[in-house]
Amino acid sequence: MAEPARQTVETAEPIPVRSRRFGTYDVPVDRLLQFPEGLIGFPQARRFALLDATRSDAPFRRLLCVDEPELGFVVCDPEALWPGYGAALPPYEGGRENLAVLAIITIPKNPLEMTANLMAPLVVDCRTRVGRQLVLDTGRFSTRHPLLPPGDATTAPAGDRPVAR
Amino acid sequence: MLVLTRKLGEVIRVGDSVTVRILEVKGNQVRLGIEAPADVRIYREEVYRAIRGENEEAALREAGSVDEASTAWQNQRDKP
Repeated sequence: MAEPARQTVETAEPIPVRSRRFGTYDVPVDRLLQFPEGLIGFPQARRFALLDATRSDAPFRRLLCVDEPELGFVVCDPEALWPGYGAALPPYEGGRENLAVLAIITIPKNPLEMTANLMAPLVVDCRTRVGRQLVLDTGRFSTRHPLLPPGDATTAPAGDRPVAR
Repeated sequence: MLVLTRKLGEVIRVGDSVTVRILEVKGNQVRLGIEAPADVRIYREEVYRAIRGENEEAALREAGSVDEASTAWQNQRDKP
């Protein structure tokens, strides 16, 4: 009798994802990000793939949900756009150096008005690839922090200006 | 909805691991002390709703939005 197929993590097949919105792609199992609690408002969205930026000239990456293939977000590294942001996060017992931080970006009809949710960043432990959406309810950060100065640039609070690079 | 009346200093227990104590009552403000394991998330409701709403708003409706954002970003950067 044939033995049942056994797969170890190293040889596990990549997970195929078919999305009408985002196309078809494969995610190696060891590249999955696990969000056991999902995201706030999306408790069933547990496994994600962080895809590289489609264009290297912009700081955006796509965070696509493997469990719900039509669900996806644009994310950025908030520290890259707002140096010092990471210092505002509460201490992490696993060690801050092991934490990757992402901010979800909302892109409205006019992309110039895009904003980052700095009040609720995603934090992922790089060693375990397990993450969650953190809520920084301190009054210091906005759920809609503008990425671009909208012409006259007075919306960003002093000290939180995006860095022009 | 379960409705309970508590006096200052009294406690409500939710499940086996969560307690809510009435610490102070001043006018229309109530100060609550909540004890819960670290894996139980506690939010002010309006904050939770704001974040949920923003997540829903941010969920991409089409894949092209990323490229539009990238173009907008790059154009702004290229300005003198």
